Amino acid sequence: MSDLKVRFGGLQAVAGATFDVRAGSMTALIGPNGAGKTTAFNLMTGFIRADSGAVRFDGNDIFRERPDRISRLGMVRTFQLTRVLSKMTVIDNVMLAAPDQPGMRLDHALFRPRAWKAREAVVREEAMALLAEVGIEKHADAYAATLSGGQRKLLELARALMTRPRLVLLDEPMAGVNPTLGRRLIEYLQRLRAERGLTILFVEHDMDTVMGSSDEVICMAEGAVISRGTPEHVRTDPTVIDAYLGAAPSAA
Amino acid sequence: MEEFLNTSINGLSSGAIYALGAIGLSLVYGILKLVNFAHGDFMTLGGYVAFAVNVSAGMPLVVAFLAALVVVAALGVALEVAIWRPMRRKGAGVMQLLLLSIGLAFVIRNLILFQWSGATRSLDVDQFQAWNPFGDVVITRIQVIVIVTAGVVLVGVAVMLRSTLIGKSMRALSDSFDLAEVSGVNTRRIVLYTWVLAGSLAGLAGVLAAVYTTLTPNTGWFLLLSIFAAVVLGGIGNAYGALVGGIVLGLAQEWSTMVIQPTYKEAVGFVVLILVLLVRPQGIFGQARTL
Repeated sequence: MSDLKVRFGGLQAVAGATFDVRAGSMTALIGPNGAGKTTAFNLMTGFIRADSGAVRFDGNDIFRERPDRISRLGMVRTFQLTRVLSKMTVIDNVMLAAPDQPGMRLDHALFRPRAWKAREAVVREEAMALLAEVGIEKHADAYAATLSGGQRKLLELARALMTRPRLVLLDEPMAGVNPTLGRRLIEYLQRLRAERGLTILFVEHDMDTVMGSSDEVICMAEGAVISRGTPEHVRTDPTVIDAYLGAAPSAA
Repeated sequence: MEEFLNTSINGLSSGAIYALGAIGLSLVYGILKLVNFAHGDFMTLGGYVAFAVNVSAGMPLVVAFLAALVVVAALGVALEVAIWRPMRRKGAGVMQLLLLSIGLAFVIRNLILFQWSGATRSLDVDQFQAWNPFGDVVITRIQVIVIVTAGVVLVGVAVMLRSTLIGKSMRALSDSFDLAEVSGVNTRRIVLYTWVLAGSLAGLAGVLAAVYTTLTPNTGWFLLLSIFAAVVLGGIGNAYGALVGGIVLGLAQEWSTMVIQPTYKEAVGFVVLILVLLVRPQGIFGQARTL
């Protein structure tokens, strides 16, 4: 994406941020509160329509594209404040996200029952496998509203992965998750990255996670990218330290 | 006992009509956050389309039913494309959409008045044929038509919402539009299907109301108050709740006539509503707020 801009009333939330995410990388997006990280996610996934700029994903121009189309192209996100379809079962939450379901179209649903039934069986199996992978398969038939905060995070991840993404955007995946579970999530993501070539972009405030598991770090402040590079490079970059701690006293 | 059975039959008939109207109203609200005041006039239009086909053109009642379903569903889709979608895109809030729907209700009602005048109409059904299963229990042909048609359709809709992918997607959109959207659910298509469903159910309810009583340009508008009550009773935005709420309301209104003057039966509906809300503010089927 390049030179993205969006303004809410008088507030310039994202002011010309430009960055790219290397395919197959695990990239962390950091920055102080209000830097525009979540807004950048919203713009990339079509949740907010940017005022100007460009977003490209895997050769497709997705600037101001509809969220469901972006999701079907293979870019999927999770939310900072976890969202689940609370009045539906856990398994239905995951199954809805599966791509290529003939039952979604009225004509197929009515006139090609065999096709959608066959696909539904496959989808159910995949969804169960994913739930097992994140460790909540025994809650498959419970309503999502009954899950604990941490379990909802896992459900969100399973839902996101069900879309068979090539790029996942995770908004603070570690927040509110106990450290053991957090480590398991990271390990699982890294395995998916190795096995399927999944690209991961995540917003995180926990610097141990950021420095320990990402291979590239992008730092935003006041709506723009102020530094990027290896974790080591960003950690020692004086502009990043400035942004977090306020301006360093300059030699007058 | 016989009086109880008779009032129950009456209550099921009007309750079925409320339920058909309430499901569509509730689904549209749940998914689009649109309180559609034009829903009652959708029903009226369904009634008049049936009148045009059944009485003016002299075709059988079944054809009239189908025509009403198709016309009102098409109206729902057309309004979505012409008005609601552009309005949402411009970021219209609940209030703007609500006011717009009230305006739309007046437009539809006056167009109906313009086309068919304000005269009271009725469809070509035998008003007097009735059966006595036993004792003084009476069930009219009209009530059989209303209860059977509505019963079959309501069961069909409930099954559709529970177990088909389209039905689940509708519930997902109603649960969290954004989340369904990022999961790749084609929200634009599901919203159109929702209008088709809400429109056909409203059309059907309108024809049944015209069959059950008579038809004036105000038929749907007057029903709308009770239908809103049914929606609130069942838990706002919950389609199953709306179904049950409609039937409970119809029964409560008719049962009350055993004790008090029938003139007050609509007021009774609202007393029930107030009592339910005092005890369960989230409606019969609504959930308490979850995180």
